[in-house]
Amino acid sequence: MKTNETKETIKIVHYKEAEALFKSIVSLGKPEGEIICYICRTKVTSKNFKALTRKSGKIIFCCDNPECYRLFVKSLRK
Amino acid sequence: MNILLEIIEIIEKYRLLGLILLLILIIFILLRTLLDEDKSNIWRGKFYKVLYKLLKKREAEKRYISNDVSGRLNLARKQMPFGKDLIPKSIKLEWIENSQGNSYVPREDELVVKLNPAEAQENNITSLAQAMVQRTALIGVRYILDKPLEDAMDLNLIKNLLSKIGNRTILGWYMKNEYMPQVDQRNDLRNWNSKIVEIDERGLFTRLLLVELDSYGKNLAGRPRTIETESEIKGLIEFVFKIANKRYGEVAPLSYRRRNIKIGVLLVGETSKVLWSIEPYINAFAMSLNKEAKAIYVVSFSKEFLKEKDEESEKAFEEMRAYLHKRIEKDFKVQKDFELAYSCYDIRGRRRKAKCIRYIPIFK
Repeated sequence: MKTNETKETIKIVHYKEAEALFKSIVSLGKPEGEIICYICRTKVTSKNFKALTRKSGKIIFCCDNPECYRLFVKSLRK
Repeated sequence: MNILLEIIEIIEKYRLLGLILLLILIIFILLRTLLDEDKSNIWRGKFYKVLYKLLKKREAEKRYISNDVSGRLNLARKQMPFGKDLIPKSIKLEWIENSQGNSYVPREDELVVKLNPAEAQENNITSLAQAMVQRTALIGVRYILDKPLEDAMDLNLIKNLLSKIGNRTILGWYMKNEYMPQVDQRNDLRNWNSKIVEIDERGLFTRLLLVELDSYGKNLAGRPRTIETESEIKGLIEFVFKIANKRYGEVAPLSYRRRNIKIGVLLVGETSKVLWSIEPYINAFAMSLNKEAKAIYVVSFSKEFLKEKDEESEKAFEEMRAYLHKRIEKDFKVQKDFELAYSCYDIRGRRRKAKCIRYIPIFK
């Protein structure tokens, strides 16, 4: 049954489809070598990325370190 | 097993009528499950889990993951006691499909999370519980909270949310991999965390502290963080902590008055005192009203095992407690905001039944 309650939509990507998503970002002009974690500044690849978002028009990534993920989600708060 | 035997007994006794009643009961249970979006998500998740185990198809795995996570988290959220409002919002999970993946560009501030295989579902649940709490709970008040305090609240909110799922593996995973490492590694967080844990053990974290913080955030309505707001919030936590940490016979402050927050708390805990007379509580309630409290909480603790030991006293206690609330509603101009019954542990680690009622005084 559908309810009228407003829900927080979170987009999710399957671990096996993460590479395709990553490539789509690369195809937008961002080479993989330059993609770094927004929090810890380490290199992010399709293997170790945990989350992403768009901030001020720029796509930013987060690595799979739990502390980075926590801070990343926090930084996106509405 | 006993229920099954009882059902068979009823069918044997009433035959056709018994069967019809049983059928109606089954239809009722099925309808209730189907009409509840979260419960039906959990069942859908179970179905796709079986399908995934049998066929090893990615589509079945994805459907299992998303239905199971959203069903469990949204249902757990409903079970969290937050007064009238459920503070964290429900979540809706949407897969970025393979075909979309080739050209997908997230919207501004839209969170995209990579999930793990179905075999690591506890990891998926905790990741999304974190997103749910951090993105949707305590909106409007976070900017005035100290960062370590905010983190301590998030940690305990996520812990509470996961514990409501009722799966020890998920909670254990979170405690081991997320909660404890943070508490162990961060000195700034540890102090606040111990206070929040103590408040939570008395059942006053989500039923009082968060309710008041939420209401504080609404009252402030975007006013900037100042030394005053910072001190008012710290003071509120210290106030609730002193109540939560109060030992038998100790005196704890029962009202908290600052410019932007005024609350009163009545603790009804000593059986002998309640059985003697409720007048001291009525007087204390009147005093809180005189201090212009915006909300007055009546928190009562009965002894969990009093019934087994002394049924008469337990009955008398319950009667006096009910009478106290009747008197409050009759003698004062107040509106009952919510009433939550729960069980918790007292300072000596004994299990106690408790009730938290929030009254809002009506001033002309």
